[in-house]
This record gives sequence, structure tokens and C-alpha cells, in this order.
Amino acid sequence: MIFENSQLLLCFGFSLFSGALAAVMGLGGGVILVPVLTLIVGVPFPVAAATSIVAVVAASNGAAIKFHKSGLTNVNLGLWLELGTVSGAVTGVFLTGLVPEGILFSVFAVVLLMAVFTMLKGRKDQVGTGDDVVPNTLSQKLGINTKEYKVDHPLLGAFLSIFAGMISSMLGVGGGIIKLPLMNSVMKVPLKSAVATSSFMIGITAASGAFMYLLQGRLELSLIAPTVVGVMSGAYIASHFVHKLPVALIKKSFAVVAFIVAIRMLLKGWETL
Amino acid sequence: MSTETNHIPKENSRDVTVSILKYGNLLCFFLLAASFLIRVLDPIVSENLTRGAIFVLLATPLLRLVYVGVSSMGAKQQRSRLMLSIILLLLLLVTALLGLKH
Repeated sequence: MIFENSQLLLCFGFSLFSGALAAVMGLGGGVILVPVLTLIVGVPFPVAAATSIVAVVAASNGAAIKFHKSGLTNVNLGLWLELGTVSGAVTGVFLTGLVPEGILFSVFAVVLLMAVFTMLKGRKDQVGTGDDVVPNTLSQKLGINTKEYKVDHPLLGAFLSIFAGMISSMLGVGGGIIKLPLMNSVMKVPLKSAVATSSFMIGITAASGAFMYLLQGRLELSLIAPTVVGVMSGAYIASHFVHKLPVALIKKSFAVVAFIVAIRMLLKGWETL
Repeated sequence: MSTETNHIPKENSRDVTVSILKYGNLLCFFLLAASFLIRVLDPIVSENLTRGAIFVLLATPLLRLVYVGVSSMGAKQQRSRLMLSIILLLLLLVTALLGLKH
């Protein structure tokens, strides 16, 4: 595909806005960037997903710095679940070429609605005192238990992580929407630690997906620079002004827009099928 | 013997990891910004710069992964971390080979 300079400038402008918005709302950039690229710039869904996944790597590197400093990351658990997410991400890249674009649009609309719903509702920590968790032999062998909590269902967690990886590379998102409830509700990891561990994982999952897209020649190189520079600059600028912004109002306005975008994507998916 | 580990990394290890992420991202940002600005003058140089930036960007989390594995070498209680890092790196290598083949 050949893009006009005006299209690339438009892409830069919207990416700047997407990065800022994502940083203000604590969302991964992908859920905003993919609709912008597909519905406004007019990029086909697989190209938008591939471009977005590269931007997700950049954004997650930035977020990982913050979480790594907090010391809440469970590195061993992250590595264990990465076995599932990386396999899923690779499978997802292959599937993107096989699954009709209409289905990708529809699945994305559902993920977008889920992300907005979670953002508005907030996430409640599903882990109690941890006394109800039966010590798991595999968790002990993997060294994923900590002094503060014990991890339940490690095998089921790794298996379900495959789907998180697939969603990530197919839709160009970080996949935290699946990883967080998985770690918190199923594996009984406290929410704060789950968020930090998910952030540790997103970079590697997205990088493996992006690497596959690159090796297969499916990355649109001319789109990458304006998109990634835009997202990174937007997130950087927004992080300095976030305390001065009416975040609650922005979140509510975004929810309304995201709802309309999700409906638009469902319709586009229906048209494309 | 308890196999429980305290997952909070040492201060030094944390600093290195943060540096890898910070400087990797920064280098990638400048390469991409240069690529974007130079595009009008020379699209081929711009494309090469983008390709280089993508490699830096993708290498950053992988380098962090390698560091996590290497830093756990020699420590008995970190044996599982080393094993997981090696398995994951092998998986990524297979991924790369698969990608090249198709």
C-alpha cells in the first residue's frame, strides 16, 4: 500500500491523540488506535492490527518502567504465562491472514466494549485472604508463589493465556483485558501484582506478534513511524498533564464515543462479511 | 524446604531493567522521528531507519528477558526462573524460524 503524505500526517495527528487519551484513561493504545486507523485513515484491519501491535510494544515498555520500579511484578509468573501468550500471539498472526476481516471487526467491537465497561466500572480485587488457595505443587516448582500470596491453577492459566496472545496479535491490542481477570479471578493473584505482571508480559507478547508480522513482510513500514512517534509523544505529553485534566469527564465522553465506534465496527464487520 | 520466592527484584537488577527499557524506547523514538521527518527527502533511507527502529523496539523487551534469565544464573532459588527464561527464548527462536519459513 502507498500512503500519501497527507494520510501519514493525519495518522500522526490521530496517533498523538490516541496515545494521550490512552495514557489519561489507563488503557492500552490499541483499543483506540485500531478504530482510528481503520475507520478514519482507511487502513485495512490486518494492517492496522500489525501497526498497532508495534505501538503497543513501545507503550508497554514505557508502562513497564513504572511498574518495575514498584517491585510488584511476579517475574516467574510472567515468564510462565508468556509461554502461552507467545504461542497464542504467533498463532494469531497466522490466523489474521485466514480469518475474514468482518469477523476481526466484530471481535474487536466486543473487546472494545469490554474495555470500556471495565474502565467505567473499575476492577475489584477478587482475591480474599488467600487462605482458600490450596498450595499447588506446580506453582511451587515454578517458583511463582510468593510470601504474600499463592498462585492457583497455573496450568489452566497458561492454557487460557494462549487466547490472550491470540487476541493481542490478531486485534493489535495488549490483551490485558483477558490477562487481568485470568490472573486475578482464576489464579488468585492480587490485582496490583496482576497489573504489574501483565505489564511485564505485554511487551514480550506484542514483540513476538510484531516480529512475526515483520518477518512475513506484513508490516506497513511507512505507517509505523508516524503512528509510533505519535503514540509515544501523546502518552508522554499526557502523563505530564493528567493531574490537571478532568479525567472522569474524559472517561465518560470516551465511553459514549467508544460505544458508537463499537457499533460502527460491528456494522462494518457485517458489511465486509 | 520451602520453594517460595520473594518476587521483588533487587534494586540493582531493577535499575538495569529500567535502563534497558528506557534507552531502548528512547533510541527507537529518535530513529522513528528521524525516519518520519526524512521521508519527504528520501523514502528509502526513511524505510531503512524504520526497519532499524523496529528491530531496536522489538529487541528491547527481549533483551530485558535475557537479562532476567542471566541475572538469575547461579542462584539456587532462581533456578526455575532461569529455566523458564531459556524455554521462552527457545520458543521465540522457533517463532522467528517459523516466521522466516512462511
